[in-house]
Amino acid sequence: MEGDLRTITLASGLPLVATVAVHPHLRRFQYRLQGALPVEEHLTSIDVIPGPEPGGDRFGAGSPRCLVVYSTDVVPHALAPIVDGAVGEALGALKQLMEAT
Amino acid sequence: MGRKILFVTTDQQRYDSLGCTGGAVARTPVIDGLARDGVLYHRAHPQNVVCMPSRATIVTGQHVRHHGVWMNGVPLPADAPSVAQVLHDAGYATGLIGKAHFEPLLDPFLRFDENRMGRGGCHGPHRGFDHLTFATHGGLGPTHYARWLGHEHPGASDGYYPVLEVGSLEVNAAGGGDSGAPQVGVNPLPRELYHTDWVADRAIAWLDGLDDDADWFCWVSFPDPHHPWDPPQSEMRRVAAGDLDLPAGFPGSSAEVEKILDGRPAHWRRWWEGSLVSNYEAPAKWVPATLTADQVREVNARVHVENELIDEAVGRILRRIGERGWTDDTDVLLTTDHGELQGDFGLLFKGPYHVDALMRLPLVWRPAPSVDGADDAGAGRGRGAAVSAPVGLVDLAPTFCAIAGVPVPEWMDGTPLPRSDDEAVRQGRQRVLTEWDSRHPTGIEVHLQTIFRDGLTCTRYEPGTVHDGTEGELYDHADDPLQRINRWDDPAYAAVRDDLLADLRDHLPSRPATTLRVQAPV
Repeated sequence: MEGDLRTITLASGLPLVATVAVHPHLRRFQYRLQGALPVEEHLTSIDVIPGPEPGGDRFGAGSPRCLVVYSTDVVPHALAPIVDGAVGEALGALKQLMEAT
Repeated sequence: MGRKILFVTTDQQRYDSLGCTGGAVARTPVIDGLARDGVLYHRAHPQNVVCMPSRATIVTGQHVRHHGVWMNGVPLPADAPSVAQVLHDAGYATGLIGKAHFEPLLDPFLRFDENRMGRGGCHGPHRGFDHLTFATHGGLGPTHYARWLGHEHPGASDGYYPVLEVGSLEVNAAGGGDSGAPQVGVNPLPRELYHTDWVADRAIAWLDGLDDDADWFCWVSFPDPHHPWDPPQSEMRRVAAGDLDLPAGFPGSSAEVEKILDGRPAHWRRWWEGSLVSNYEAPAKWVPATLTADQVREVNARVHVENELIDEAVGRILRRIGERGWTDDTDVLLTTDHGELQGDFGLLFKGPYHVDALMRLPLVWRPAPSVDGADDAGAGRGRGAAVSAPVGLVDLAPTFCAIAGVPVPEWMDGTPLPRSDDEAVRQGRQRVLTEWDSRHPTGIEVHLQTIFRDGLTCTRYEPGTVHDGTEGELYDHADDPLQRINRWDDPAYAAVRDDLLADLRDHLPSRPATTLRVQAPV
């Protein structure tokens, strides 16, 4: 990280540079890709929504469960399935990690 | 010691491209010789007309609805069954050299095994293959060929036409050559560095590493004659584009194209005139209505050259097999994954168009000369035989099992290929099925299924974003070999149409409970 600029090197060797914004009060993490991939427009938002409290159906801060919404807007269209596949895999890994801890 | 299997595939090759199937331009003496000494199939169809689903059918021996790879960009699950694994377990050395494409090629995150292997220089094992060496169209991407070309000949990959457009990642529509046809490029790469010869060299190297008494299954998968059409320019002297006749399927005028396409479901005409892009496999920015006769000639000239290079490469591999003393014990099968429109109906490339250009494939089986190549009733010896009964690529994996003398697993849908039409009758072969499902990133969905039986091609459409589910196509090859007259609504054909549709419903597997995720455009 350098300021709000995050650089990740992908397994392919491609450096992925993104500006990152964190909104703790909204439990929201956002990043916007800056280059490497041929991206015209990109914005990813990851929202963590507290799940239902035990025995109830209301969402609340005290719940041991949560719903993670990982949404991405991307242009060009051809990148959509690629991002979708990677995000799906990332969410699966995140779920596994959370359930193991 | 058992029978060895050389399995050769090309990519996007038409039935009529070889000498033995009526082609009059490309010289293909090696493949013609295999057909002369073996069995030539006149009605071999793929179960899907794009690469990934079709290749998944080849390696699994399953219909699309069973292996689940319903369109390009859907990876074949890592635990999918594989005929290579069956042969490996039976003691065969197994190799795949060339284009695999069981997993997406466009993979910037390097999520897929094939791409990690190609980028990292690893050669397997994977999917039952002991050894894999990958190449695809051009000199870029995570393949062993691109890695080799980049290391040994820096800058040489620049000679290839860029398949994808920089920026949009769409299939490149830029014109090249003398005619400005899309996906045509002038490639200064020396022939010996071109992927066709490289694939043959690597296949020979793999075979050279095997013991004399090894049983082996070698899948040699040439990326050509799939676009881009950019063979080494030094070889273009073989065929003069200007001397070529236009293909019979090329209508010749816009008025004639319109007349033909207006009798078909709407996506045909809409793609041709540029108001619809239904799938990723053709350049989105190219409008087929702009296709000229000279462009068709230039594309075809380049395809003919690519097919000659493949024939010569197959010849080199067969010579090496002969030098090893293996010829008598080696079965050779040659086919492709799907066809190419190549000017038919005024179109190029491929898509949801179930006509002979895309569905009728070259398929040759030269049984090992040391075995009795007779059919199941002992008739003939398989030499110079022709099978006109419908067969499918789904039958290849069971055929490999039969050659190797191992039982055909229950999970395979196909049946070992017949060696005569009589054997086909005894097998109960009447039909071959092909299906298409696609969802373009823009939201366009197309779904169609086709049955070929009794010299008729019948296609039904399911509701999508272009079709309401009432559309269909019916072509009678007996009096309409170019499939120009759609008899779907012809009262004289209503009964046969309904019978074909019932047959299609009865024999097409049910859709799977879960739909595999699309993870790349290709």
